[in-house]
Amino acid sequence: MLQIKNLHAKIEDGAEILKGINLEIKPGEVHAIMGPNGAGKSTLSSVIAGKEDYEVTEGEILFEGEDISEDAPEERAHKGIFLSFQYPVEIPGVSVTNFIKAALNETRKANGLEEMGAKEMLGLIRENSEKLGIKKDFLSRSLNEGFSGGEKKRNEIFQMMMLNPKLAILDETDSGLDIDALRIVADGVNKFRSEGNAVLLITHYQRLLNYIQPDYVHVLADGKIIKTGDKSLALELEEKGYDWLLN
Amino acid sequence: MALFEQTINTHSSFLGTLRHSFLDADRKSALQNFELKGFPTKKDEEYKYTNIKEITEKEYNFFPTEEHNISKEQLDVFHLGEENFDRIVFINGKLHKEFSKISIGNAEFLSFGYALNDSAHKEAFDKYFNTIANKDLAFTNLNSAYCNFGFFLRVPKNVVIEKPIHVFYLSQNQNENTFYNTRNLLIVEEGAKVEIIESHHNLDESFVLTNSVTEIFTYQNAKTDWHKLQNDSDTSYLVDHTFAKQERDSLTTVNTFSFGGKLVRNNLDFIHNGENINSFMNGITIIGKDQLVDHHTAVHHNTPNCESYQNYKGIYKDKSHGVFNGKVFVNKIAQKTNAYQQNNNILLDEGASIDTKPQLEIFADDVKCSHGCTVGQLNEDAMFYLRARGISKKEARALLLYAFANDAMQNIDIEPLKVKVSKLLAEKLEVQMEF
Repeated sequence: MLQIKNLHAKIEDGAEILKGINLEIKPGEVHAIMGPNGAGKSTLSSVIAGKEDYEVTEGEILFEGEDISEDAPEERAHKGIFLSFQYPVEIPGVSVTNFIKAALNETRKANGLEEMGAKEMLGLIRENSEKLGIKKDFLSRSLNEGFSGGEKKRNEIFQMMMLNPKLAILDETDSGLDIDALRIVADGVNKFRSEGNAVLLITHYQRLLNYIQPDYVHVLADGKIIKTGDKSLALELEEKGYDWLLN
Repeated sequence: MALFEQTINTHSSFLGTLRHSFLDADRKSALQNFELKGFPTKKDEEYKYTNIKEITEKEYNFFPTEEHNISKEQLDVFHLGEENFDRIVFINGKLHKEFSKISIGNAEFLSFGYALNDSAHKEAFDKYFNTIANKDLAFTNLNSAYCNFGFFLRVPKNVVIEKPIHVFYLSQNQNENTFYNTRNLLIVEEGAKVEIIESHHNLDESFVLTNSVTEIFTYQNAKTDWHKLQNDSDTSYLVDHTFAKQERDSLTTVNTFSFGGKLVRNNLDFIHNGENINSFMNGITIIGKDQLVDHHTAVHHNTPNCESYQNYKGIYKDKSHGVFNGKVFVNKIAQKTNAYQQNNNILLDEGASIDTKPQLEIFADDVKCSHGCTVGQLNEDAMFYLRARGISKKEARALLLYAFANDAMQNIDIEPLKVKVSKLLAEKLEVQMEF
């Protein structure tokens, strides 16, 4: 589904952050990328989603066999890439419901589908919000405005379930969550997982991986993947830290 | 002949058209005051950023043609989609009862012209008319000299008018540039409540200059809301002066939504005359092309324990120009004043500009006054967030601008007006979306 080959990227007019990443994610798989602060984890997720602040200088990003590195962020979203943000943006005056309606219908339009009718939309909203234990009044609140850290992350997962992407990238989704919120969010991700889609978890801590079992764990340091293993690697990292890998 | 000469030369024939004469002396002296100083120029501090030369160098017809061919359907377009609102419709300077709908029975609601010509209202005129309008200003003097239409509303003690009243000023079927002087007088007595929506519409290609003066009196425990919906054509000029005097424990709000017109100058004066007064001024401006919208506000905190809140948001496209000048005067006896002022602006294009100037003069020592102004562009991280959800660049921009402006809509409690403002925002941002 996603193939990243020798990817180099830098901040516009700045330093190189990704220095030759190779990664392949197949349908049905869950990958975790771990690594110390400043390793380039968030940069990698932003580059896959198409943030324009970064420039790909070498290598390619293939999604379902097609090079997407020139695509706008919305085009990548329309193709089925979803990024859950570490810091979701507050949009006062725009309700969660209206926002998700706009996002979903734009994606449907781009894929040659008709806009979803109000009744069907409401049904889908109800179904997904129930799965995440989201209360009705939450949906009429302004997007992310005054939301707690947990509410913001839960809202990100809600949007993921509504948009039903092929590849979900979850950037530090576990940060700022207490254990109950973490469980709800992880539960949502597990319900989302299927044979047809894939998940890329970006995380600093092993904690989340107790709830979402990855097939592969990669260690990213100084812009490169320096080690790949199975979920036991995460436990090893938890125990020993990153230093033993860096030297 | 430019407008200045016209105003001097036309006055005696104007007075000849009126059915009343008790104001003639006042009108003449107002014109003399105007004549003395003439129109303000860019040398005048109050017009430093707004050049009104394009208004004053034109020639206007002072006596608009009465005939019109506006259909009910045409008028419906301007409605807020809420048929049961009361409305008063002026076309070409005349009240049109067949388009108006007044269901309130327990208030005095008259056209200004009618009130002027009926001796029963002389007492009210003596007591209120031109008492708070600033007599040093060119445009208010000009209005006093020439005003002949608008509305007069007195809401008696403890009367609550539930439905908003929408006042329309339309101009149509004029072959020449036309000059209107509208005048409104609103008296909201103790414990009473009223809500007004005001809009001006020029339906011709020729220019319209509207010089409007409104005096609002809000008594003890009374509440007045006034919404100015400014979305006029590219051949429209509007100079508005609104003066609001408040007595103790009262609340007055003026919301100004400026989405159109070639040049709009809003002047807002709040005068406090009692304790525990609350005043709200909100504005959303979104303009483009070579439009100019200028907001001048002044709050006169003359009494202790009062609060004023000003929140103005501006979005400027193309070569448009915005001006904000917010004055807060705190008298030395006005202790415990709480005055808040905020003006935030976003410039979308390189040719767009904003001049923003907070001006606080504080003579009391135990007060809380804050002000802030910002000029910026859209947050790129927020844009990326929306686009990563599949929302196109244009729509993402519109959503963020809507969110930016939304803050100044908090005080609208009329749902159809909120919807209308949201729709106009979408229209101005060239997107088809519901927010």
